[in-house]
Amino acid sequence: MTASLRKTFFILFLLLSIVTVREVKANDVAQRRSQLIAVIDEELKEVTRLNRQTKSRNPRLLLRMAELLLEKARHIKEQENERFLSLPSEKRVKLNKNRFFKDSNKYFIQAQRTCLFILKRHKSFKEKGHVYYILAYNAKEFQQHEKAKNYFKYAIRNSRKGGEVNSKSRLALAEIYYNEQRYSKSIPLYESALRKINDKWWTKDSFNLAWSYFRTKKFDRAIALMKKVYARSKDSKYVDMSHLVERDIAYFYTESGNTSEAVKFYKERGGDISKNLLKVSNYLVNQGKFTAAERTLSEALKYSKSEIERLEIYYQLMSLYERFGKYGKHLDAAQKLYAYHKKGMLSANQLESLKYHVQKMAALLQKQAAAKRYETQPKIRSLKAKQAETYFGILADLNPSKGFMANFHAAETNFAAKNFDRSAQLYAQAYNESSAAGNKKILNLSLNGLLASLGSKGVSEATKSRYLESAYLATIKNEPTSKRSYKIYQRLFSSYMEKKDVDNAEKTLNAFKGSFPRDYKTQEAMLAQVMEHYKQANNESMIKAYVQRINRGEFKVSKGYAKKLKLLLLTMQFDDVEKLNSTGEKKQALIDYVQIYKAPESSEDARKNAAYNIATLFYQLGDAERTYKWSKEALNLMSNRDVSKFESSFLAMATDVFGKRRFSEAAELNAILLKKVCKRKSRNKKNFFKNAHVIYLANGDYKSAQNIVDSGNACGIPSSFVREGQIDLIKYLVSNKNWGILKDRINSVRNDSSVLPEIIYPMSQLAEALKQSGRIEDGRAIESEILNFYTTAKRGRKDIPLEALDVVADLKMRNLRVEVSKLNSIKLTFPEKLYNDSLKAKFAQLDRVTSTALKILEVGSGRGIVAAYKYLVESYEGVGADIRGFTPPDKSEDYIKSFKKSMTDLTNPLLAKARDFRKEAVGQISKSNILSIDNNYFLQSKQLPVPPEHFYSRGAVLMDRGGKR
Amino acid sequence: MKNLFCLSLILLLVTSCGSSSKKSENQSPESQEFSWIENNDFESGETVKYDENSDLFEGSESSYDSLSSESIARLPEFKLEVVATSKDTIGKVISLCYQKKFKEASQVMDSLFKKYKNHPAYWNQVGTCFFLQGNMRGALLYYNKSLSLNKNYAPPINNLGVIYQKDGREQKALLAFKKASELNSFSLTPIFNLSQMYLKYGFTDKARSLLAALFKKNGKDMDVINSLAVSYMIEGNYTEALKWYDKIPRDLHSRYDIGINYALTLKLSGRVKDAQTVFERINVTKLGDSSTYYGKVKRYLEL
Repeated sequence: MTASLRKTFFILFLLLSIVTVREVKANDVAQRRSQLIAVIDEELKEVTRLNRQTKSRNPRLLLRMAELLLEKARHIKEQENERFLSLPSEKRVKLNKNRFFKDSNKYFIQAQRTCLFILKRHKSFKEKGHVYYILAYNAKEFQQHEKAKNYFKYAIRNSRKGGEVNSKSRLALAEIYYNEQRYSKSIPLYESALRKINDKWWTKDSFNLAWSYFRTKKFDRAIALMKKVYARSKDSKYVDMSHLVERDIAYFYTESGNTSEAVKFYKERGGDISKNLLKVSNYLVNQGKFTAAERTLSEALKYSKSEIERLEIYYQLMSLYERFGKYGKHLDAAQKLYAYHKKGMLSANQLESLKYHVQKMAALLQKQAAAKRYETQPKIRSLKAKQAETYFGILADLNPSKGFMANFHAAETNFAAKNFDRSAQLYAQAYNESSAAGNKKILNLSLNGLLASLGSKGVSEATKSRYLESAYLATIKNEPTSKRSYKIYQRLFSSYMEKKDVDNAEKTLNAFKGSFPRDYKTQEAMLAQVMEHYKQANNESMIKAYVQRINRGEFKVSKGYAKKLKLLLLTMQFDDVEKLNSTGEKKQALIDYVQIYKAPESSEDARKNAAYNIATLFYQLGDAERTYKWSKEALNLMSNRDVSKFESSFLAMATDVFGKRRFSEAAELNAILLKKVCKRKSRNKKNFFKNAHVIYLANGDYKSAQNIVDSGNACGIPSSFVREGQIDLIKYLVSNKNWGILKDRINSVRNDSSVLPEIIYPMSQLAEALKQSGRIEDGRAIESEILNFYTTAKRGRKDIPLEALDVVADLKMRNLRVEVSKLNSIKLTFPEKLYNDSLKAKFAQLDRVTSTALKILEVGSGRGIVAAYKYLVESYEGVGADIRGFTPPDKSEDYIKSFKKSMTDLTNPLLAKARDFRKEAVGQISKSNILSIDNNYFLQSKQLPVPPEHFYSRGAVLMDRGGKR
Repeated sequence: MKNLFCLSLILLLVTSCGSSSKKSENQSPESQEFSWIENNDFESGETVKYDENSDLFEGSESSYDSLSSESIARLPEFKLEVVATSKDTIGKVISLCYQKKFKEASQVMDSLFKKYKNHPAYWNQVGTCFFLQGNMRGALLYYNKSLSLNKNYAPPINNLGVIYQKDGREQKALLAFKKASELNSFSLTPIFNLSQMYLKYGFTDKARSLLAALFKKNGKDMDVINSLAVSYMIEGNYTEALKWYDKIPRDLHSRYDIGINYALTLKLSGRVKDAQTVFERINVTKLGDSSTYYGKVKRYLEL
């Protein structure tokens, strides 16, 4: 044996020793380690001595030295580790590790230096691979993996292929790559190494190679190698990897899509299939192979023999289904597990896990059901909602004290999925349960949800009818003054009204009033519906009761509504009566109206309307006295506005009262009507005005008539009507010879130029009366005024009544009489000069008579015309006669003859003129049918010694009938 | 409110049903108060329409009164009684008024009211009743009421003329009479009244033509005969005048409207003694407004 060979054997021995050390049992470790260190120290001493002798020229010795130093370092490190780990953690933290591990580090560094020295000093050393192998392991010890990997590569490169160092380096490097999951690199290294090495670790390394195959999708190779590992594991020569193979081979089969082979594998080996599959699945899950795990579990489920196992499988499956969003299957698994729970088979952890799953899934599905994504997929949304609801149901059972929460969420889910009928049902359930549990938050939320569901489109009437009322009541109870309750009251109220449940509607109204006392508008609207109901039901007493409550201030309503309500009551009060009326039961209607009028509880409106209707009934009866009485009563009760509406009816009634010759009453009714419509638009106002004052005057009530006339302007009566009234008053005063008042009355209208022509005649009467009473001057003053009025009227081209013209003509006639008198007073006398002067004066006066008479003719009075003509004719004829009849005294016959002749020539035109005047007068009288006492002067050719007068003792004859035809 | 009122009003005014009360009336004070009323009383019933052919006094004609078919103003008391008890409902009213039985007339008017409220003749009678009571304003109102129902109904127009004349507005009265006579060429009263006015104011021709027509209707109407006599007297045709005066019974000479002018005519015709005789027959206690004229004639007669 050569030295080198001997050394080789020695090294091999050491290596073997080292390997052997691995198998030392733990309790012997410390002892053995000390022994080994001692042995190492012995050899190290020897090798060091030899190396010194050879002055480091023998690389083998150096290599051995390095090996020993490395080995020693490792053992010391183990010792240090044990010591380190035995220290209290606080102390460990504070410890200087370099110092603590300085001993081992010292030997590692020495080994390293030795190897590096070899490589430096002995570059051509054939066993450099071995040196690198040591460096690689040393680097591995110091966690210098990259360095280690490189040294292994150098070791492979610098060692003989197929040699032990080469193969071990390959295995070591393959393992590094395997751990780095660089399977394509690990596979060839494993393959080449395992072809040479068949030690006990073969099964372990092959197991890794099989996995490397599997990872690179070489399933067949992987399965085949796994089977080989499984087979060799039965051999004690090899490390037993069978349990790992059993575990992993099912996974390989499953992954390769051949689970049956796995089952077959387990069957052949008489194993618990489901248990193994379960293990596989666990492994798969750990590996993140969830699909495969699910398949495996599904398969395992088929072969499971116990409920506990199935429970486990379902448990696993549930987790997997959750990962893959297989909600249906998840739900199924959860339900199965829930069933096991009911049998008491779930552990506390499992139960918690189940709760977690159910809770999570319920929440997830709830979220999905509410998601926009499913808005256009109602079927899916409903399915999700249903699933969520089932989860919530399980959850409720799993945690009964929080069942209301689960039901609430189930309700929320259904609401989100627009399953309003179901959501309403669940909200109601949640409400009741949360109420029992005293959870106010969920109670409120449930109520909100219930209301929202019931208020949603698509909720069925059945659901509404089942829950609406209680939901409303609950809301009002919980939050009587909230904004929501504000609306709820109204909805509840409407709901009751729809069902004609007026009792509850009224209760709601009262409750609303209590909660929202100032919302008069809504109270009013509710009240209106209640009233409408009572109206339909013809329940007058209830309406009356409400009106009284309103009057007492229990309900505040707008003026308009109060009025409307009163009107409603009124309507009802009158409806029956009007029915009677319309069916001809007028007597009963009359009795009822009177009763309404007299009833103390009747409103003023009722009494007013009753009075009006009573009046109209008496009007129909033709009972003027009662028509008056009730009309007056109605008018007194009615507002001006009311009267305006019925003025025509009242006018008809007043007219009938007048027709029945009740002047005082008829005038009074018209006066009241006028007063009522005085400031309003009214088509009959002027009729009331005229009727009132005319009838008052006919009844001799001047004062009342005057009041009416004087109110005319203020009431907007047309001025022509007022003027007519004024004139009528004046005429009345004249006819009644009430001169004192007449004067005042005339004074009050004298500024109205339109009235002046009409008051001329009355003024003349007044003037005459004054003169008769000796107040001549006053009378004259009025006459003077009459002429002024006449002039003004004439200038204003006003129509002047005939009697006024007669008055004016009569006044002017005075002047004419004076002129005529003057004319007549001029006497003709001689001598001639005197005669000529007097003749001249006579003619001049005749001119004045003529012009004065012509002025009278211009007045246009028939009486004045005839009289004026008479004066003219008489004056002209008189002058003619005077001249012709004059005979100059003491003159010769010839003179007289000549004088007479010349005078005849002078008088002929005068007499002709007189004849013309006469003719004109006759023409005027005949043409205009002038009725003058002087007519006979012109119309009769023969003038009687006594001017004849014709009288008819019985006056003009009244005509009572139309007479014969 | 408005609708309700309107409705009730319409119901009240329009409805008239003849059925008797179906509802048993309770014995309330109101029931007793109105026990005198029957449902039928509310019926307006049919109003009597004016018929010009029946608008006259029948059976009241007087041989001495040419106007008696259309006016009973000049009828003697007993004739008025006849009319009051006749079947002539409207005539009953006016005859009572002429008899100055106004209260009774008023009751009859009220009873006729419903039926005759649209009848112009009814209102004309009412007006005349007021006239006869001296209430000219009242009369005026009802004559106008009558005219408002028939503006061409002659009687109220004539009667307004009577009021105007009474009031001194003769020119206006003349127009009324003329209009009344023109509306119905058969009406005699306005013709008579017109003739009287013409006569009073010297239109003897016009008066005589009207009077002749009246005389033709009834030759025994002393008012017409007297008027014809006066017409001739005014014209100075005493012979013709006396022919007419001769037709007047002696007992009527006491009337101043006959006696004064008859006496004057006799005197003018030279029959002084006869004139004095007739003049002395005049009832001086009833001279009316003719006393001045009476004095003038008396002086002329040198009595």
